[in-house]
Amino acid sequence: MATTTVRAAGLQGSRLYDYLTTTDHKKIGILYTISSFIFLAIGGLLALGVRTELAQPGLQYMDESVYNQLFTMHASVMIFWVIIPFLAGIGNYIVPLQIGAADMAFPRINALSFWMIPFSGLIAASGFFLGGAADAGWTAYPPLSNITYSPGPGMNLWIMAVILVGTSSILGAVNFLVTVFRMRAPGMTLFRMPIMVWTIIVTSVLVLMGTPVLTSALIMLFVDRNFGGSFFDPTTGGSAILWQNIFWFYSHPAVYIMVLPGMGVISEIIPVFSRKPLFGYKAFVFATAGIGALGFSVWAHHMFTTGSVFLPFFSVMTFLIAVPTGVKMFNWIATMWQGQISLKTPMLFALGFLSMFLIGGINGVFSASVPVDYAVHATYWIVAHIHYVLFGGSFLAIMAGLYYWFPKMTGKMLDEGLGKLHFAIAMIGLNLTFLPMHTLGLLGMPRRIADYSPTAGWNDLNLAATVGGFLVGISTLPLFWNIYISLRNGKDAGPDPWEGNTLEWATSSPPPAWNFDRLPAITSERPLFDARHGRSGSDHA
Amino acid sequence: MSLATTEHGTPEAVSGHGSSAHGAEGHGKKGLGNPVLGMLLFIVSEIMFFGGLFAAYFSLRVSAGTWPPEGNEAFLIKEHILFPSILTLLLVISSLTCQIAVWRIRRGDRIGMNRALMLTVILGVVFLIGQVYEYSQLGFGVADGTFGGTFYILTGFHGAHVLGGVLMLGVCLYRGSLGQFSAKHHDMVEASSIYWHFVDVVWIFLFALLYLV
Amino acid sequence: MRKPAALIALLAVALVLGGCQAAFPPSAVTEEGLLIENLYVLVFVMAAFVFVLVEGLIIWSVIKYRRKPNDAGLPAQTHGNLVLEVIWTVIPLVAVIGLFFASSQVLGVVDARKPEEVSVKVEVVGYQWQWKFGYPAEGIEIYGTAQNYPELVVPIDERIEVTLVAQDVNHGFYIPEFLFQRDLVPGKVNYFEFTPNKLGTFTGQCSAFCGLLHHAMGFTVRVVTREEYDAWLVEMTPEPAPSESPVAVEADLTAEVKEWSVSLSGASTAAGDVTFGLTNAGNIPHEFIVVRSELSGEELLNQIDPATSRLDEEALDAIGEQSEFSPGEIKTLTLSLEPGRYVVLCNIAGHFGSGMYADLEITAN
Repeated sequence: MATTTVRAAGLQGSRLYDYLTTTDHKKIGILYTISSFIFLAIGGLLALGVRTELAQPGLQYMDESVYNQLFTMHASVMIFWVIIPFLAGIGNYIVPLQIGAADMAFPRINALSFWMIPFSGLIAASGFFLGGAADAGWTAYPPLSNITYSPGPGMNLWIMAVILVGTSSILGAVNFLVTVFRMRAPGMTLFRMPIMVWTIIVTSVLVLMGTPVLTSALIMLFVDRNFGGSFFDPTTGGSAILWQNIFWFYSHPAVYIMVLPGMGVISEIIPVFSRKPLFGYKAFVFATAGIGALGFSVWAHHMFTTGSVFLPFFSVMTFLIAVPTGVKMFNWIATMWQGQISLKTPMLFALGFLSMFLIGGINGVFSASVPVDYAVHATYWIVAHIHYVLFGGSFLAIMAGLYYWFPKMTGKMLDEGLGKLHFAIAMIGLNLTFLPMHTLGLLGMPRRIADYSPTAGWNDLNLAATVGGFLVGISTLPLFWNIYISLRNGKDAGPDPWEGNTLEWATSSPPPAWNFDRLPAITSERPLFDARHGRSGSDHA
Repeated sequence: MSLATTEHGTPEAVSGHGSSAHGAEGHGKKGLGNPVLGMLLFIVSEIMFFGGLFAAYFSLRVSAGTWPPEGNEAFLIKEHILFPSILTLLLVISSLTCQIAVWRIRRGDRIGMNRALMLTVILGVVFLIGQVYEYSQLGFGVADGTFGGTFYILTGFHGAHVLGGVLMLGVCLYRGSLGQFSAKHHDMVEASSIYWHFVDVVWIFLFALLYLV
Repeated sequence: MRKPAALIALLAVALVLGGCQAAFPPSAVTEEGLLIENLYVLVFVMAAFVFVLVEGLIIWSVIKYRRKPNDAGLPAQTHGNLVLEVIWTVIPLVAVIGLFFASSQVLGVVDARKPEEVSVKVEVVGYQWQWKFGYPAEGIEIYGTAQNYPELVVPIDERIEVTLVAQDVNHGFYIPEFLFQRDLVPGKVNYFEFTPNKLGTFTGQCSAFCGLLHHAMGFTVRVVTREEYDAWLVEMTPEPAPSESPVAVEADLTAEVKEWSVSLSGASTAAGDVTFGLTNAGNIPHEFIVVRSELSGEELLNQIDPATSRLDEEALDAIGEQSEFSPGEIKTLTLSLEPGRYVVLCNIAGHFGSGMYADLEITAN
């Protein structure tokens, strides 16, 4: 576990060159993290633009065409260039370590997958400088997204960028699946893998089977826009609804792609900080697989109001998906029950995830009921739902993972005080922003409006949401400061600062290039716990 | 940032580290190598990609009622299937030659593999040229309603995949000519042949749907 | 250190105390909406119960099982419990299936089509970015503008059938107090029926993002008594149109505007006071602007701002205009025009680019 640095002189020995040419999964994981933070800043600023305009009725700061670009690109950036890559990056860093492997199965394809992300992000963002970014919503429904109604270059750039970032995901999924199926250390049977790894596997299956369908839709839209195609143009025999079906066939599983690895992170943290094994390991595996499978059967619940959907099927499947999600929630609580809980920052963010995802899951059930969806579809109720599950859920889980694995990645501890400050401001900000949106939706405020009537009764709630939004932005400041000072001066972490259960803690922080000098015996899903307490493996009930 | 790179000396014998440290080979286990498994999974994603295009085709065809839509004689491609049938036959034969290449290299017959690969690549190129010729003879384009759009996007992306396959097999041929493959080490040939068979199967579906049914 | 769990508890209490109405939709004004409102309350009660229970468990476990300094050794390492798994799988399963059935009952009423009971039929056409309401039986057509939202008038306690037609892109016919919306999908006609049961005026708005002025696509629905409705019908029914050519004024040039062209009766006329006779022969409102321009209409196409799909009017030398007028309307516009080259056009977003222009030369006398 030597940590001396031996580098060649000159350009080839520089750290920058190292990172630009690396195929090491750990460095690639860090690259993913850096890229995601940069796009988080961009997506966050876009959101603040939206919230600033909506704080008061009237168009004070921008016209509609700018506003429409802001919310379209905010959603696109957050989904494709922040949440999905953040989780892929955590997976990249952690999965080979957790299964006792030396790297991913295809390291060079791994590097290619990463570099496609900032490249494609630049393409999408370039729209802002080339006559207008995409502005038809991230859902890009034709005919609005077709050439007649969106003639600018932004939509074409957006299509190309999303195709690229989707391809990056697909290659990553192939990599994860082959790695997990073929490169586990001896003794690590499938049912001894950490739940984090299980969630990455199921997510990879969703990516593999869902993302290509989005690619096909995007290509058809591109042909419609640029080559006179008729796929989605009703005036020449095409179907506007066809886009919605193909688009949502991917985009619904996409939300599970965005949350399942987050649930994996939580499933790593809660047992460690409760000093108990994960309650119901097998239930977690089946619930994860169940959510993945069911996730492919609900897409048309985004289309209940179109009059073109077989409502009973999609409604019942949407209701059903609440069940495995609930199973996970109860199992996490049971893990904490009668434990010895320590409220370090990773655990705080994990608890935040539980509470916020609970709200997001519950308000989603309302929309599973078709008549209720008639009332709340395309309103701020849905914006509330989206952000409770994606921000309160996925993003808080990403933060939890960051605070948990930062010591492993860097060898330094993050400051607890700053971490708690980040958590507190984020929780207040997030709830102040999104809780009022339930009411706004019920009162009838539709989504994607640049302005609203001053007499509708929506003024105060919008102002509150804007204040909350700025708080959310501010909450990231302690985090960045924390990272900066901890990298320079943080306490040494050592290999296992949290008394972890899984293999990544059985090597130095950061690990050597080949990951492990030695592996402990693997006889349960907590090999390090067993080694520490001299147990010879108590496989879960 | 203290992300120091460690000296990459020879790692000590790692206890119980069965899988190779270099993931690319992975043939410590019997059966499929990592590249082959990776290719199979990639093909799953390709099937879903074509699935999206097929879903659009089926949906638009059903809602159109009459198919081909009336008013354009050029749409009656059903009546000119001789040429595309020949192309289909060539592609099927190329799958056979490709598989022969695989069988030969499994036996260690490098020269035989090269010959079979060469034939496969030639057949693939002929298919592509034939496809381009067919396009020039059809009387309709991608902008001719849903019939033209679906026809060209399905056959066009299939053609793109054939091109990709030809390039992949070309690389195999090149590496094979340099003697880089052996009975024990020829993962790329296995993976490329699986891809080539997939491309062939997609074409058979396409041909049946677009020209016969 | 403030316990975060306490913070969450505080927020929950604040929500409950701070405004119960905030958690519920507005009171429904249709019979179908009332069913949806009650269904919402059912879901809400179950949701509140689940939230209080689960959040309570989270908060309780964090408080009760906090690691204490005198905690020696490990807590009991329970791996799982099959009975518990079954319980917390089956109970939620039963609950959601129950909600599904309750929803299906309501849906059956909300989406019901009973043509034999329908007493009023209205047609709603949505286009970028307003609505046209039509009463086909009486030949009434109401066009909305951004400044003047259209109003749909219907009689109380009667079954109304609404037909939804999209002219261009997706739109959404959404009335919050109906607790209801239905999309307008291009290439497809949608229908729904409703029975208003409260008098009053209720606002509605487009709920499906449709481009630039999506936020301005508002309308109202006014529910009146049957007597008031009959009187309103009489007042709104148009006089029979004159059978001769609509331009009854002496015009130098007539212009017909429609989707997507401007047809001038001549390509040139003499300078001086020029009177245009304008007819909107299309299905949506248009305007008519006279612009002095050395470039032809076709050349001006290059100057369309892609962000707004319009020409920048500040950069144009506009001599005069007839602002938005509705389909079927006839207007006259008299301008003093000097010799030169002009373009006449409609500059509503997207219209000019679609072909609504014509070149005009004003010749010296």
